[in-house]
Amino acid sequence: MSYTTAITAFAALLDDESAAPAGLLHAERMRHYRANCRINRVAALGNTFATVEALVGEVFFAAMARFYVDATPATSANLHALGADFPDFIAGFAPASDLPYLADVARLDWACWLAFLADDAEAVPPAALAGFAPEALESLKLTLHPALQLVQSDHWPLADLLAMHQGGAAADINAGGQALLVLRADWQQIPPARFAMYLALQQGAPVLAALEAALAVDDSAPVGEWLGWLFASGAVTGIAEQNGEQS
Amino acid sequence: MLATLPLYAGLGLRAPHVEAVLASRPDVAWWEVHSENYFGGGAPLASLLAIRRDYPLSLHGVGLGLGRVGELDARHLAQLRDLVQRVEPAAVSEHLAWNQHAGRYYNDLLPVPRVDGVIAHLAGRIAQVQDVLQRPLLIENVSAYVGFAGEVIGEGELMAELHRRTGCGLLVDLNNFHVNALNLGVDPLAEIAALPAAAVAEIHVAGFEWFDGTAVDTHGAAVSAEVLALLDAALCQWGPRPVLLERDSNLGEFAELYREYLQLALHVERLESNTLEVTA
Repeated sequence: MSYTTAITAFAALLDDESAAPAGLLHAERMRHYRANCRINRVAALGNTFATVEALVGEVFFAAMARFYVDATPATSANLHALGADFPDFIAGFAPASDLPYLADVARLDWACWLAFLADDAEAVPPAALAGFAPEALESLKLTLHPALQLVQSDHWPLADLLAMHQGGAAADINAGGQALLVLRADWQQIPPARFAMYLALQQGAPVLAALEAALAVDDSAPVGEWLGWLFASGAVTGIAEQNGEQS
Repeated sequence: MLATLPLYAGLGLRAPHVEAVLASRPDVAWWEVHSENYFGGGAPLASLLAIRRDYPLSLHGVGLGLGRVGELDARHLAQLRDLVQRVEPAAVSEHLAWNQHAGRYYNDLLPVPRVDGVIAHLAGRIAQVQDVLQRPLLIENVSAYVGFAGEVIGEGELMAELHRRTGCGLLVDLNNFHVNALNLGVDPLAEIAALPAAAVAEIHVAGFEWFDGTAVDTHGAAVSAEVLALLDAALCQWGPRPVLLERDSNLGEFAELYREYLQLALHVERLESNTLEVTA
């Protein structure tokens, strides 16, 4: 038996317990590997989706995570990198349908997780903006720090729920949709206009277009102040004119 | 130099204990962490660098999958290289295991089949990693519940041969030898005897648990008396070595694990002084 053949037979039996145990001794013990893979992934999800787990309890969470893990092959060796599509899975998980806000809370947890673990990146100083003429804003693009994450729910008060999870007052689940930004372990609720502006920047829109996106939501939005906050918070890691000049 | 860890007992450090360790700076000779837990930046990496300033540190990988068929994950390897450059650890290790096949990942340490082709395959991967890291890698034996028919070489012999071909160091997990003895009938003393002393740069001890008649390497219990006896035998044969206490599940409070560590540290200390007398 070749090396590749042996590994292929092992993997086939991991994927499907009815596969032929070709060349394997004690193949009935394969379930311990299946269990290890599942336990490792479920435990990691509990760590990543801490607010979801707090809302539904450990037992329900473990059961839900197990359904997800069994339905979703792992796409990385790094457990920290797994779970991006868990919120979508939760949205369709029938036993959780009594908690219609749960999928959005999971999106919040994932945003917090990405912000917490993002690579370090050097911030551009606020003075860098002064080097560009006002008319350059039309073509100026910013690169935002990967530790800045944006999350919004159309229906549910995510900021209130997160505050409650961190020891704050009980949230009123009917308080309506909320948006927030997360930067490393810090977060704050932001108005929809500011969310629209930062989202546009994150998606690569020029600064002027991002400011207009905010003003389209709220024509009195203090967009200059919000732009300044990004620089002052170290959340801008690159600044470039669309024609390629970089700073 | 395969590694520069102190010849004392060290302790595995997991995320739930980092805060307590930073606050109390316990008397631990060296720490080992899982490399993948520090692949990002932010607070986790900053904590690790703070610990690194005060203690020798070992980076122990669990996700590279040296034994996988096909190429290693280039991004994973690059992240490891970047972390090694940031941390400048006293040792870098990985398992003789695989974790990916045909595009699908398995988040566990799966045993390599020691069949025809295994030596060339692993030696190539180890050489590649050492080229990228620009330093020796320590390779560790894993536990196994399932065996492969037609194996051509023992685990200890395989490690010795990989050392001979690549210059890599050996991280000998005595609990894994014991678990494999219970599950598959291998002779742990014969495995130890097959290893070249000069290549053994680190030892792991941990606890296992029984599940339905199979010994499972959970790192979730105290070190067994049998594994401590293997440690005595190994240190008698090899002389003083860095010995790591690993605990990953049933983690509990740091103070509890610290007591277990101190017990092991005393055991190793007494054993190593005896060893030195015997070999002097």
